[in-house]
Amino acid sequence: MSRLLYWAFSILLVAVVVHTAMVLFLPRKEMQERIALAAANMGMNKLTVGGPDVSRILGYHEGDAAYAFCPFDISKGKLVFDALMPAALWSLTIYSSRGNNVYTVNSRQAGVDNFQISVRKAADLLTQLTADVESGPINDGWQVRTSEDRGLVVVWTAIAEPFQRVAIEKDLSRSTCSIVAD
Amino acid sequence: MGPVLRIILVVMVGALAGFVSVQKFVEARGHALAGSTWRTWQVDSSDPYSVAHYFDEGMLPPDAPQWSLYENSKDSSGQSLEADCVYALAGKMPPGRWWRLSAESNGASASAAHHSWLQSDSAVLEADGSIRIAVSPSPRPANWIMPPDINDLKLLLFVLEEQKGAVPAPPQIDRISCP
Repeated sequence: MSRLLYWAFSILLVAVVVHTAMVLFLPRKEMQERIALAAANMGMNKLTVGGPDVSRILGYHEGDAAYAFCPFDISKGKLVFDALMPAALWSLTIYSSRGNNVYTVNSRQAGVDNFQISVRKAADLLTQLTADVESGPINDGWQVRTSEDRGLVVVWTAIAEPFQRVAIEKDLSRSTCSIVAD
Repeated sequence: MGPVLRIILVVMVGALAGFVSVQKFVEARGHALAGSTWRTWQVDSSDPYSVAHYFDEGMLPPDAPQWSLYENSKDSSGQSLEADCVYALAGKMPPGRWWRLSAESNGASASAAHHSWLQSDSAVLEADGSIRIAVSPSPRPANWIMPPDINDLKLLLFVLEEQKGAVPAPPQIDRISCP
């Protein structure tokens, strides 16, 4: 009887390890691979307005929208995203390397099309260990603190008519994404 | 049975149980809309199962609460959607600032095929605000979505800034004909 319990417990232990690994580590691994792939194709800490091939790398399709991506690494400074958004519906999302949404804002919430978002590493150990993100307004935009070094900024813009694409992508490319010494 | 064989068996059975339990937990997080075959997975940073679901589908989690995402791979009778069949969607879209309905491969990243999506900017609405959409491999008048040529089809509905409260389920999907 005790032998049977021993094997049953062993099976349960393996099941728990596999379950935890799949839920907690696989999404993180996949996100890190996407960030690495984006960095290899677009460059790290650089905003790229995605053509169809670039967008598809990250699982987006461009039929109805324009996308811009900025894979970032804030291990050596803070990320400064200077946004000059097109006059259209847009949404900006910052993902951490865990795959979580660190920060998100859209055209209605922002109220303006020109602003700045800075992304810093969380300063204190407690925040790094317990929280994925802290955020708050600063002078002309928002400041985000995250526990992760790497992440991805995704900007989505609706394109109501196909002829608008060129102008909207041109507008999107005016934004910049760079690392500044903290 | 030798001890090595037992250990291998334990690892295999345990791994299978772990894998199946993840699938079950992720499926259980999917919220089925009342009277509809549409489902939605809420994205909450504290819920790793929903995040795992989106990665499993080949996409980044939509940025809640800005975006709502509804998924459906079955018609109103519960049969799996097929790319060579004709379907009719009728009803009201969940109210929001913008929406996009697309036909995509189940479990793979998005398709870029022309006509495989419809968005609120270009949709033709009925006088009462409802919408009729044909999903068909051949052209249809008014709102038409041509599914990509795949076996494992699903419809995805993204809604930007969906109004909170009693939101109607997306239009039901009726199978009209199959070859």
